[in-house]
Amino acid sequence: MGHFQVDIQFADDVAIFKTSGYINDLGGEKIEKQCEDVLREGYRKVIINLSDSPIINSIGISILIGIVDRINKAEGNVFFTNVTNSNSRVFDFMGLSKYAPIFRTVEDAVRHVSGQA
Amino acid sequence: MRSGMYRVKHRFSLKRTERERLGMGKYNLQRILYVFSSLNDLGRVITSNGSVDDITKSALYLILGTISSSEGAVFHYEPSSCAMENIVRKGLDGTTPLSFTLSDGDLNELLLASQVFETGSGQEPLQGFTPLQREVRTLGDGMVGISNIRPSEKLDHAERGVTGFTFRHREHLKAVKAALAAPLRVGDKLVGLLTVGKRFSGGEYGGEDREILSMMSQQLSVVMYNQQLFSRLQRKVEENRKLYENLKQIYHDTIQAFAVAIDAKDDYTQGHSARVAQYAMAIGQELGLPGDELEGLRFAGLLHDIGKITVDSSIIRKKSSLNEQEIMQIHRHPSVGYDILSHIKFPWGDLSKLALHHHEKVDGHGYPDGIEGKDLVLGVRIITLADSFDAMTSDRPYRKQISLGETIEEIRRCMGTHFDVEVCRALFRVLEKELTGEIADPKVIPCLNRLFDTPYVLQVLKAADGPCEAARHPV
Repeated sequence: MGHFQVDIQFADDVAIFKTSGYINDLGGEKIEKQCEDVLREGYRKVIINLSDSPIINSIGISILIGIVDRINKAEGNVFFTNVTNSNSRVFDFMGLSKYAPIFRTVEDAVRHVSGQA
Repeated sequence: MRSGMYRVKHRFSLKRTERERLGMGKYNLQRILYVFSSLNDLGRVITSNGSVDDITKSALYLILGTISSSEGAVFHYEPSSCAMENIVRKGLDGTTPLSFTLSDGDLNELLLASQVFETGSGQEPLQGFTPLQREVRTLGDGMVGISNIRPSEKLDHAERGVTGFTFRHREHLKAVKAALAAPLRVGDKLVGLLTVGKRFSGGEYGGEDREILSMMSQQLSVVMYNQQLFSRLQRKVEENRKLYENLKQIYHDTIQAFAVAIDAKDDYTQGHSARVAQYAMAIGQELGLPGDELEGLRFAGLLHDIGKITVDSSIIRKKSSLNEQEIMQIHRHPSVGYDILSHIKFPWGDLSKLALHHHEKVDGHGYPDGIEGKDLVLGVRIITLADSFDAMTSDRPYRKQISLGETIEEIRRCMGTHFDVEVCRALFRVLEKELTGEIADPKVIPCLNRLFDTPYVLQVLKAADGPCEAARHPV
């Protein structure tokens, strides 16, 4: 679980990130870089599946805030899925969930995004 | 059953009321735990083995991730140039380097301001406002600090805030989108500045956020301060290293000059000491001696004949046989060399002994003391052979040089009597390796000022490799 990884899949105009490993150090910056890449490719809807990242500390929160901020500024949207209860509460009081809604599963988020479209 | 459920609900309800009364709602408690966890993480980060850049970056991320901001920057303060230099940033355009110079007034304000201040309230200082003049001074350790300020003055100044600084540097603070800033200080020394952008979650920063920022920036200050001390120490170490290298070079050059002076007594021996040094190092290297011993051999080679400076030049240049008195004078040069060198403390051991014994033979028939091989240190046995090898392969006033093949045969003949067997074999191996190109950086062959028949010499070397009579009884 220590080694942090990001896998990306694409469904129509949505980029779906799946992280594996703890987001608790600068290794988590990988997601930022990959978000920049998908933004450059024209994607504006990003789903981040955190099912395999149960531990997110303040460095991780900082990285996720950076991503949400960056994508929002590019007039895009971020959606989190599979967030643990504990992380969900942290997302609430850190303001993350205000700008990036949390869904139970990737399918729920995709359905929501498709509905938006 | 029903009343039981009621009691439980009632108890919970009371507890929640109590928590709410104390301002510790569900999220507050969660947030407190989160902040504690962040402080713990910050402690872990600043004591980690990473580079200072990584530690500072992680600390900035931690701080931003704790107070909920997407933008922040850390500046390093360089006292010698009064420059605030941006070293780490997040959420900002990373391409523009940002640094600015602090005035005495800025320094005063940052040294005396409260731990966290707002950056948006900058206003032009009142005309004639000269805050605490001359209080900023450079401390003994190169840091900038303040002195001679009464506590009441400090308080006055802190209350006056940092309006001058925030006004003067409003463009710089705007460039890093600073909403709050925290001077990074250790004691009364300024080490840098931390800025954070507006609150990501919206609204203004509260007192709790400022407290967290204050605590975390103090920890970051210690990291930056230690880094400054470490950098200063590193610079000193580097200066000392360069100084040492320069002194070493001067020392080497002086010894080299001595060697040239020794050899200058006779045209025939020009370059002799330098060649002996080269040969001795090559043999030593073949025998696997460590670097400092090789260095010692080099200087022993350069200085082994220093005693010759007292020998009359006419004796050294004499083409005919020497008389008894002249031989006595020549035989005295190792002892004179010892007398000269024994007053010098060399870093590579006692070179004077190597000069004293470089004409000894392993069978005990050398001079001045007639010491046998078993009592001669390896360095002496190497210098002795290197000296003789050069004597044989160079022209001398009283004879022409002999060929490399003949030299090898002569050395082989004297193995175990004049010369140490293992040292001779090491020289033969060096010659073979250099002739066959096995050694990329040859030291011996390039010094021999004569062409020779390589296949023949290799053949002689091969023949010399066999056991000799004396070699069966190594000393």
